[in-house]
Amino acid sequence: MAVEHVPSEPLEALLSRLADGVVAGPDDLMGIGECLNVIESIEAHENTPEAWKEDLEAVKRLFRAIILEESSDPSADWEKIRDVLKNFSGNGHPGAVTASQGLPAEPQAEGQQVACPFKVSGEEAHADTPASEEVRLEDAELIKDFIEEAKEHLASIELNIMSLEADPKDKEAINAVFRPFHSIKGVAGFLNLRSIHRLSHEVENLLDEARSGAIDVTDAVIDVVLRAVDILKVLLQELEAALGCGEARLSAGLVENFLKSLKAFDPAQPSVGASTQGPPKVGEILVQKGLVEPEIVEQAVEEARERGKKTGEVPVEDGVLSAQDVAIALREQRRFQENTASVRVDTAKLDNLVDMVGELVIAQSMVLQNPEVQAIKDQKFQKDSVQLRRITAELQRISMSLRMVPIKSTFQKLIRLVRDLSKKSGKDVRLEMRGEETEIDRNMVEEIYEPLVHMIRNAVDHGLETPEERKASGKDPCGTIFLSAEQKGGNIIIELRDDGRGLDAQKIRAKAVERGLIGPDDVLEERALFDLIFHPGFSTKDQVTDVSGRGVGMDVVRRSVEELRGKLEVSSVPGQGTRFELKLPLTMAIIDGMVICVGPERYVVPTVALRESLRPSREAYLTVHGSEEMIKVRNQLMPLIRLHEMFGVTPRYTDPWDALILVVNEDQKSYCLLADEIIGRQEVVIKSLGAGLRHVKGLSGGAILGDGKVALILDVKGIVSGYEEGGHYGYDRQRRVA
Amino acid sequence: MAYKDMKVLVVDDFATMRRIVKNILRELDFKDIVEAENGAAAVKILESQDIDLIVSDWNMPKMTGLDLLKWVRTNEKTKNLPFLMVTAEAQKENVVEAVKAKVSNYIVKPFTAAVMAEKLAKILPQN
Repeated sequence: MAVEHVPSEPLEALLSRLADGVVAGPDDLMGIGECLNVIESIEAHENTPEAWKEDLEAVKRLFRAIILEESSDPSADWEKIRDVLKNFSGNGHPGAVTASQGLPAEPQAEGQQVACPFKVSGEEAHADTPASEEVRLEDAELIKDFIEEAKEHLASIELNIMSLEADPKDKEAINAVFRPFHSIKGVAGFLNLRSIHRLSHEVENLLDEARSGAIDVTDAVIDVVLRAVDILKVLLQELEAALGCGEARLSAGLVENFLKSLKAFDPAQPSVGASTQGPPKVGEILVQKGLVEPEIVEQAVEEARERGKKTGEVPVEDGVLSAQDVAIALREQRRFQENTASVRVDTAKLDNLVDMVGELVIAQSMVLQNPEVQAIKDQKFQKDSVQLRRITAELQRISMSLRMVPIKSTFQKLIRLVRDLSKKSGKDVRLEMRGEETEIDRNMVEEIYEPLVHMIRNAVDHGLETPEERKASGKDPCGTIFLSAEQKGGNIIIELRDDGRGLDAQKIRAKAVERGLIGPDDVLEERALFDLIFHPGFSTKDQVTDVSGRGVGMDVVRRSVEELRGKLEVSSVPGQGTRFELKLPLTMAIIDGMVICVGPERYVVPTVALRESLRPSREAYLTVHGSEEMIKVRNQLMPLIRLHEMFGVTPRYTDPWDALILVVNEDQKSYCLLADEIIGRQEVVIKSLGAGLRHVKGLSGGAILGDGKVALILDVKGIVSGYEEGGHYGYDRQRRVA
Repeated sequence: MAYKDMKVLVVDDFATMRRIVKNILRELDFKDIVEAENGAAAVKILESQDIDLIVSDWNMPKMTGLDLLKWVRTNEKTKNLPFLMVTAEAQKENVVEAVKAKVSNYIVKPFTAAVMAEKLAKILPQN
């Protein structure tokens, strides 16, 4: 209300100002503005009779209609206004009863928006828009400027959306994202770029709702905005490509699909939990405590709203509840609010907790596996021990989940990367992401970033074609990189896919032969061939580029993934793209392993490394060049590594055909580990070996098994490299079997 | 004063938009056009130069069109300047807000030279 600047002006003075006000006519918006201000002052004036208000409202409505050019007969409305205003003046008494008869009542269509002039130009008629929009480019230079500027603005959206994500309530950040869409829309309107106009218009509306606080800026909203940015980029690209030829064909279909999905879009949906899980209402607490009937609470809520009071105050005033009851409920509500807040905890404490819970689980199984305990047949004891197991299992699950964080933060960083790479390489790249909510061990989050960066660089540089190449092969000139994360069993699967040219098996082969990685006549499955790209120093890209650099890369990537006890695999379809699958354990604290027995010792082999286990026949055992021991598995010769020699224990069996072999994969080669027997598959909590044993090759840690004994966790990579180097462990590879 | 003798200030944060507005103004025979990319920059120009007409966008960073309008109306030197607000937000509240802040008139994007001429005729009646 515009009362503040005329606080003490008498009502009479206001009325005469209204009457004498120089409003030249319906076109004089300044005069109308002055009038509106005076009317609002009158409305707010303490001496203004209630009876006037209706007329004043009506005059305001007429003014509004004139301002917004909605009036069907402005001069008639103008006359009406003048009549009413005349009546207000003079004796300060509104003879408005007669005048107001001609005034409009409440607007019929409340909330009806002023038609955006652009919208009239057949938005609805385009319900079944063709997949492309043809645009005549009349002023090429202007359009060129527009494209440049729009691109800059889109880039600023991506930057600002990061800060918006950090603080979804940041009004300035919302504005900063809103404004570029607004500006783009404005210019697109002038340039008659219908698809761009419609798209930015809809996103602008969405953001406007966020600006006004009508909707929250959820992740889903941010996703929508980013998608719109992507589509706008495509459209601008198409526009730019067509600059020379005077006519552009824009992918209106893209916009159409987007708008369709936007129509069904519910910003709150993906984060239902967050928005509805607020603290319970005081009334709810009161009912729950049985202090009051639900009806009374409803009534109180109603009354509180009417009287402008808080829910808790009404029943106290009415004597239904004591103030103390309400105070208790309020306290409870506050406690709940505090509980839902988060607590920052030192990660060392967290790791300690996880460790101790691991110990607890082990201690429990030690107790329960004790033969004396197992002999107890008491039913109650049986029941209780089941209960104990359930609780410890749940405790373990919860403590593990404390270490988990969404992978989103890592993914978000990649948005920028892709954008920058796209710019640098001159290729248009779109990044699609899914499963950002997937949780991953916090220790791993940092570790997977670098490998992902490397793979994305590779995808942009080697995988995706240039827009021209893409167009020539009938593809969308804008390449897509698809990044997703999901939890599958005890693993996190991260998939990175591009729709580029795919791996060239011939080229890889030629390169591998050239580098001496394989012989010219070696027969390799496609899979094994693709696997060669992970070989150190391998690169088929002829040119070293700014983006992915030299042929260092994929081998480093695989190594860092393996350090996380993960696995990296590649598959590819020529012309359709390449797909990397990164399989990571859910957590670094637990490992899924095969417990094996060598002599009196037990070892854990991580199942990620394990391919199969078998007992070879006597014929499958061979020596090559009269020295190295080999096992032939399905016509493939694999070196035999005797674990007992490596670790200096006396095995039960020394002949492979009596014992068991475990086939492991390392560096595209298979090796056989000789063990006495397999005890079983088990999840074990990894324990550090301490400073003294940390650097022992072939071991990555220790674990306490169910019976309380310690088992060493084997590091397959270390074992293999120890074997390849030979001699380090004081054992040679000479034939041991007669 | 004839249009060709008037000095117009075009305020918009989007350079392309300024160019479009300038093109339209030139079509209407305006010759002397200066630009500002937001309200704050416009204020500087208004303080140092003699401007005869302001055509300003609404939604700008740093200082919005509405804030600029309010500044213009409270500044002795500029308070009677014709101020044409360019808006795409055909939202009632915004326009009424501007009217209450004494905007001379407003024009909704996208507009043609003819619409611009019509609006200018309303706020520059001597022409």
